[in-house]
Amino acid sequence: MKKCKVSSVIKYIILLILAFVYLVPVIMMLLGSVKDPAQALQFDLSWPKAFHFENYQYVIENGNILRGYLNSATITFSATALTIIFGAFAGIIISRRSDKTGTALYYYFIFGLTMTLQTASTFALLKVLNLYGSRFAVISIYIGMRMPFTIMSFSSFIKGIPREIDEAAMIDGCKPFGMITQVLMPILKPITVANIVITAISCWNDFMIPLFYLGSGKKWTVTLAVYNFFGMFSRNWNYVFAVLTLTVLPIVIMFLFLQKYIVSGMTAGAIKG
Amino acid sequence: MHSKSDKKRYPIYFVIPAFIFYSIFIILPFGISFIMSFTDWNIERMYIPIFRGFDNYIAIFRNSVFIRSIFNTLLFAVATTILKTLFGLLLALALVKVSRLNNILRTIYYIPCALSPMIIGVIFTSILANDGLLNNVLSTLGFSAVAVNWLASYGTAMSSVILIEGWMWSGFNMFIFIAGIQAISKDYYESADIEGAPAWAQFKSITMPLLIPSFTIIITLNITGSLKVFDLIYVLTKGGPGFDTQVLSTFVYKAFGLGLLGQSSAASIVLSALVVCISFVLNRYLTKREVEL
Amino acid sequence: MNSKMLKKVFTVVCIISLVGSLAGCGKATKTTTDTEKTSSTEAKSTVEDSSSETKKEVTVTALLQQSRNYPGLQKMIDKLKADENIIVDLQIVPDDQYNNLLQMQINSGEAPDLIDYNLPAIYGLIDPETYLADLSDEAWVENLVNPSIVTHKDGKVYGFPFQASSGVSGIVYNKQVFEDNDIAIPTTEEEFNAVCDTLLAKGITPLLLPSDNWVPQIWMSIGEGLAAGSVEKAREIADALLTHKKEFTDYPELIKVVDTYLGMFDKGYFNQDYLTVSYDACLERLAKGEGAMLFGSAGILSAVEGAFPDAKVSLFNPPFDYNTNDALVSGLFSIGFCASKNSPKLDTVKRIFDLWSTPEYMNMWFEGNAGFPSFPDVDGGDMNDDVVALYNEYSAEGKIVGEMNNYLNDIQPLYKTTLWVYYLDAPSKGITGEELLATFQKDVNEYMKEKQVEGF
Repeated sequence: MKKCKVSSVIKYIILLILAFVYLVPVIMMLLGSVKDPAQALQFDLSWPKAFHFENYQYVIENGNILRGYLNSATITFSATALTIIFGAFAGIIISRRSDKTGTALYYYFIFGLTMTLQTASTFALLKVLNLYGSRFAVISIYIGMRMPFTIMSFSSFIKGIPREIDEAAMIDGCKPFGMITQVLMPILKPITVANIVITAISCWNDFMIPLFYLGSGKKWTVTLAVYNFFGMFSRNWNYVFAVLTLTVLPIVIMFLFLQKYIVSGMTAGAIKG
Repeated sequence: MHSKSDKKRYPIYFVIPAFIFYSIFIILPFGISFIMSFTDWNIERMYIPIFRGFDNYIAIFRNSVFIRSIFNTLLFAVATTILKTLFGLLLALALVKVSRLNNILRTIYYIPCALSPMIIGVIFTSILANDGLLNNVLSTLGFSAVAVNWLASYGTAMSSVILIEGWMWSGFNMFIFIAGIQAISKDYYESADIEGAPAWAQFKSITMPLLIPSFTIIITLNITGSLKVFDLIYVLTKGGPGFDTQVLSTFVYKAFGLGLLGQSSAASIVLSALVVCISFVLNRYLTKREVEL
Repeated sequence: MNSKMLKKVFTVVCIISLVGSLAGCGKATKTTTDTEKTSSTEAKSTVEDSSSETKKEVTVTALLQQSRNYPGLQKMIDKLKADENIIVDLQIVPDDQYNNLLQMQINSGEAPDLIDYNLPAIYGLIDPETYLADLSDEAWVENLVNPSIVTHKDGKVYGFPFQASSGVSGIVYNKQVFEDNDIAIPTTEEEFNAVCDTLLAKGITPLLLPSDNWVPQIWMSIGEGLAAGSVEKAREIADALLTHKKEFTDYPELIKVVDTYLGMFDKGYFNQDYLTVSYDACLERLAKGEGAMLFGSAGILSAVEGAFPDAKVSLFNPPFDYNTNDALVSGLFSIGFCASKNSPKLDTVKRIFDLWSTPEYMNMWFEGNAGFPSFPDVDGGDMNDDVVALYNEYSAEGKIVGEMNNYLNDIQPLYKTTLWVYYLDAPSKGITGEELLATFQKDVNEYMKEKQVEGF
């Protein structure tokens, strides 16, 4: 018993040290964001000589951060919501239908896991569809990109839920739509939340798609706002760190609120067939 | 009979929105690239490509940088998948019990994957610089002999990128493993305890076999994801020094930058083909093992 | 209970996002034609806000490289908004994505109204006759100090330059370090090497080189200009290369320039960490005297002086053997903007150029960024005396030549993607100048063939 305790103390010491190492880049960013330019340039973990919270004020005033937030939020929210809705419906149907169409669709969607962004072709396509430069284009690309993973996870999760539930719902007089939204979705809450987190993170952090397809600077997302602060001749790293912190802040906060659902959501994968 | 009620209960039109978005914005561009990979598509002649057969494919396979990219892509995919899977499993085993401290630690290990690649690039290039944080720490600890310019030579640059990818995504795998372990019925362990089986034996004969489905998911996701790696290489090494750490995605991007859209498309088709083949073989193998159990 | 709430949330989310995306869709399909409409409605609302405001609000889009986002330019844009009600909608793009994005937008007919680029380098990247507005008849063209810098082969002007020349280029050095160590400015290659050896012995890095791949190429672009020795000769070489009458390896002088650069590595004159250290860090080392010299243009002087007011830096002409004609390189290019030919706001863009050509605006650009202005009455800021003296001396003798890159415009997109990488990669792999240029020639041949240029 005693041996067990000692080993568990050692385990936690290792885990805590590891956690610190894990956080070093984040700590460096946070400290750097409140330093003066000279100290920020040293890229270390030293404590700020004085706290310059006005760095954030400067960045928000000069970097179009608020506009960026609004654009990012619009795009991320729409893309995530639609991805989850479309993906959940498709995933459930595909998994539940035991016919050839279901299987064929499943493989059709899974195929997408192997594909990378076709920058030029997508550009040409958006031009033809007259969608270039719109938020809708960016949202649509995200939805398409997220489909394979979302459908895969929903369809494997639903396999762990007995079909009897569906049948009971139908007998109670539910239409297919009602069955999915009222009966199945509540049960699927964990995988839904897990997917929301994963989708939102990937949309929020992406910068290639908005850069190439958004056109006007007025629509730019907060991730692109960082470029206001890079310059070949004047790099104010304290501002850069402040911008970086601001860009990740909303997504990290969202994650902290939703993370408790992730484990149960991921059980999906484990049950997978 | 069964399938008839199935069709009614699970109407196919619910799949239509997903199908449309995915087909138009992912499959269609891919189709365009596939066709264009056989033409002389150039940025200056965007709308008048001319068919030229396999010339683009021949050109890229003659290019030593491309061959090197294939090698690097495979190396990166295999190394990171092994690293992330093992490390994720270790973390999961250590943190599977629910407790306050464990919850905090889990969150910390997961946070890196919420950071954008751009941030990771900015921060890690400064940490790994010659006079960066890592070397400062090493020389303070008296290991200045091992302090090298990490991103300046192939070996250390590639290892750094692989380790950073591991840092980013092990936490994600940890969550999948934790979920998998929690799904294993406690009864197995109780009866093993009664039989007096040591912890290692329990792990080997209960946990591991029952975790195979989790492995399937993790390995599939990790392999497909890391074969397509772009962001991390792009922000950390830009494929350098020289073209040493170039991977397929960065090669695609480079050809695109020169306006050689046909060649760029051909390279991305090769990449997709590679991902399809590898994940197909792996999936075959892993699901076979699941069935055997 | 719980499921009911979830259902409600679910429905709300559904509705909001669908409406959101539909609205987005409606906007999207009309973006190109709609901009004017929205801007006019915006204008109306501003008119309501302030009755004194009389000018109609116009928005023009502009594509700008991250590194060109100078505070001075920002001030000019702010002034446009305050005085003229012209809003410049900037897309600030990372430098290494800029070419791709610009080409993509231009070739697909989505060009921004204003395009930032080096003039005349842009004429090699995109076809000016097809895509850029002809500005030859603008009033400011007559006042240009150096019209040749923006004049295309066809004699027309397609761009608005800020500078008359990017300035003298050569070796930027820390004066204090030279003085403290009793070092005179070297006038031959032998002397130059001796200076480096002295510095090495004192523990000072003789030559600084950052990992940014646009920096090492300056050695070659300047060096090849010097090796050519005159504008005529440089043009002749470029012409032969671009029509494939000759290849790079046919010119021993070009090979020698690369070999001279590579030789500096063998002698250990460069900083050890040149593969990872940033440009900013190198400027700091130069300013603090940890390093003594850096190849580049006079613009670096003002950058260093701006960031480190105590630093004493200056510039001298590289004394290498290949400079047989004793020439001086002055960059025959300028930072500037072009207007897109099919821009619906072309009149506004032309008005912007008109305004910018006045000292009232352009003085701002040169604040803290001293240089040679493109218009005579503009204050270019305090230029370094040595640089001015150097320029006057060589210009009197007619021995000024451009950087080689100026003349090799047509293969410009290859620089970033391959050539510059070779320069940075060659030293550690023991590649010689001739091998390097031979490898690059292959890239050139392939690229020009794809572009369907005659002779390849």
